[in-house]
Amino acid sequence: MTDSNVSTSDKKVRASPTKDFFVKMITRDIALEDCIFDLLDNAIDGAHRQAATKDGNEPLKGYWAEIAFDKNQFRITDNCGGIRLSDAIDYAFHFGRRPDSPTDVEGGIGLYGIGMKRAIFKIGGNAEVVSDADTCFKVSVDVEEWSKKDDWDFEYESSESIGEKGTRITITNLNAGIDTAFSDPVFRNDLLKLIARDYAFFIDKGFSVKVCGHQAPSYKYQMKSSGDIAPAFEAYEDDGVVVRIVAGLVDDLPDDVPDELTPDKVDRFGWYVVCNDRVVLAADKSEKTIWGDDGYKVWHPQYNGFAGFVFFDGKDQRKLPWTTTKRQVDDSSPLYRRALTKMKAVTSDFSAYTNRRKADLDAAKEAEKGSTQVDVYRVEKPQPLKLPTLSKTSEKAQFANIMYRRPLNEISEIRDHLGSRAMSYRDIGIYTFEYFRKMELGK
Amino acid sequence: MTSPSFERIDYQLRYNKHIERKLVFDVLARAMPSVGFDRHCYLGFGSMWFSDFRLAHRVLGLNSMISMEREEYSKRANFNRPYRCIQVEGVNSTEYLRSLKWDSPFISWLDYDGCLEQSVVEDLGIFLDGCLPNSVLLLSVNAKRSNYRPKGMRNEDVGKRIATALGQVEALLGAGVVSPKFEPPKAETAHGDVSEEQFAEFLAEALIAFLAHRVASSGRKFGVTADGKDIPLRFLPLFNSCHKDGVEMVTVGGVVCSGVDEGNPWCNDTALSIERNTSDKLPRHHRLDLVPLTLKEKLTLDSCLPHGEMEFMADAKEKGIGLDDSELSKYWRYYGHFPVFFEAPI
Repeated sequence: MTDSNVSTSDKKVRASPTKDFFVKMITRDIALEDCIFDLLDNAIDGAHRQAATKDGNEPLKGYWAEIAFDKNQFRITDNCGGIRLSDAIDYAFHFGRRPDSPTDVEGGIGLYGIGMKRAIFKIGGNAEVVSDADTCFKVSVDVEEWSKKDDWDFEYESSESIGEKGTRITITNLNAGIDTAFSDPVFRNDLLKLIARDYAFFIDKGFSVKVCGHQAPSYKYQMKSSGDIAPAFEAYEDDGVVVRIVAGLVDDLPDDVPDELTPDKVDRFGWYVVCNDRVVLAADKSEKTIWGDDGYKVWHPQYNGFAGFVFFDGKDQRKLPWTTTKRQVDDSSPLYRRALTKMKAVTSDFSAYTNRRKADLDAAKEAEKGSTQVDVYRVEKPQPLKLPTLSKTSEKAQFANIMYRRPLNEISEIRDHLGSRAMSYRDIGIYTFEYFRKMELGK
Repeated sequence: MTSPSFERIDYQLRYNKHIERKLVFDVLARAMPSVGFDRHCYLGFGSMWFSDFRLAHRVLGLNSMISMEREEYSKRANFNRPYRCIQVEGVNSTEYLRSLKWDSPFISWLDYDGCLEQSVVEDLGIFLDGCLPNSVLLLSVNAKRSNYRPKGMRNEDVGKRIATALGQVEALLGAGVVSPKFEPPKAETAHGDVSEEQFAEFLAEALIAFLAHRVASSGRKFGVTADGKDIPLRFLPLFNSCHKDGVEMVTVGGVVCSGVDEGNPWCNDTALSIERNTSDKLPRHHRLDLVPLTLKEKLTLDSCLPHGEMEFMADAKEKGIGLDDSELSKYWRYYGHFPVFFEAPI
């Protein structure tokens, strides 16, 4: 059947992009925090470009980005070199990376040529991008007006210097929900913690980030090390990407499996995926890494205390297994699948130990004592995971659960007496049991 | 269980609480003409003294008031209610808040006897999730750091963040409530804590962050603009103080109102006489720990007022006042609300 109103002479189906897709659709696939991180990534790439010739432990020292927001506007300012006018005209504002775009900074974290525009669309209706590189210019964006036009270009004009060789992006007319987040102090505090966690390796190299005047702290990823304990380390090159795997204990292992846990108690444990020093997945306990993947065991609170890091470093960032949001891994990437196999192997060594230690918990705890902390990115010697060797006990320790109900006001009395207002009922039970053993049995 | 505080303290005879109460109701009285409290209902813990209820009726003209009281004390509380429009509910606050219909806006001062604990957090959540726009919520809790530091911990938690007063507050209110400015420096051994001096202010900010986040994350709407854009609800902080009449207490509060500033009467800081920090826009933290004054001292100090702060101090000293500068400065700031108590034959 044919429709007489449809022209079929050119034998083509239409596939042109629409602006609406960029403004309203792809912005739904990314969290607000990750949009802000896209802007931060651009600043860090700028710093890398500027610092390309610097050596030493802190090559990014002196470079900074400052993020400030309130219910009316968002602003990010950096001193990382800015965008050259010629790059702005030909590449920086283009939707998607053009095939003829110049080679970007090697080992960078900016990737797809979408981050800045997507961040603007996600956050607000008006934006002003001021760049001070070779010359100072300004691009003003009115999203609603731009959406009505046929052409996709933005106009620029010359501008006053921002006082630094860098970029300043200001977004106003905030979208619904964004203004609410920006006036929420918990959003600000959480953002600061996320930056400390996900940009730890850049901060360690001297880069400085502030959020609403507060300095993002230096977050050290460290592992336990002693005579009996050492993290596993393996490194190899795969398709032009250097892969490093570090895994081991980051905290004391639990004596037993708690029945109630809040996120803050487990937020350091699990697998981390790091691409060119940018944390993509943090403390993952899901099938995004190994847990439950292809029949592998799922995460269990028994593993609290364990963390693994897989670093992918490549001069060509397109080869790394991350997605456009840089918050997901491309789990169909063969490179990533090959790394998963090795991650599973080291995790299996660890989980076997957690089962062994149950049989002689006292000996295990004694052997785990007295460790020092070693920085994850300073582990460089290939070695298998080292954990205490426990003698095989002929008699397995016997365990039993105690469960009883008591009136809430009596439990509250104990909690008040202990002054531990956040203590769970279960912990109160364990504490009172331990207290009895100590006072009555002297143990 | 400890005895209720009304069996130990006459609430009306606490200097600093008295000043705090006056400051709070001053702000609400200033908001009243533009906001209008005709439909508002007062909700609190009237205890046996009903001090805040008296002000709510006399200053704000509220005629619908509910006092929550433990069941075993409700009969006595009912006898002591100063106005017939006060309804005493002999029920646990959490239970009562859960049963509320939320068909009118509230002004509620949840003035707890003790420390912040899970039941308090639950009360706050129920109120903020249910209340109508323009509802005002205040809460007071104990702010002595040592009362939050656990005395007994499981061995595996010793030395960790959870073993600090900061960690306990964080565990109750959520990880994001701790402002970076209160984060203790990294320590090699045990996790650091907020200093004793800063604790009340830390707790106040953590509570405000919790209240603001609870409303912000609820996705509740105040209304819709003419062009169809949603106007979110927000928690706008108005009160941030601590006072000490023997025990350190912190009071914070604010209003659940429109997320838009324009035309919003609660945003007129000048009219409401609210001072805000320039950095974080929080109401300035008031520390109310004035020492009691004799009638003679008060009359002498009053005779030097109104005056500039420095001139007032110089005058007062010249007239033989033996208080140090910090006390004089506090009196200068709050003298309009300073009470003097003396025995009177009835």
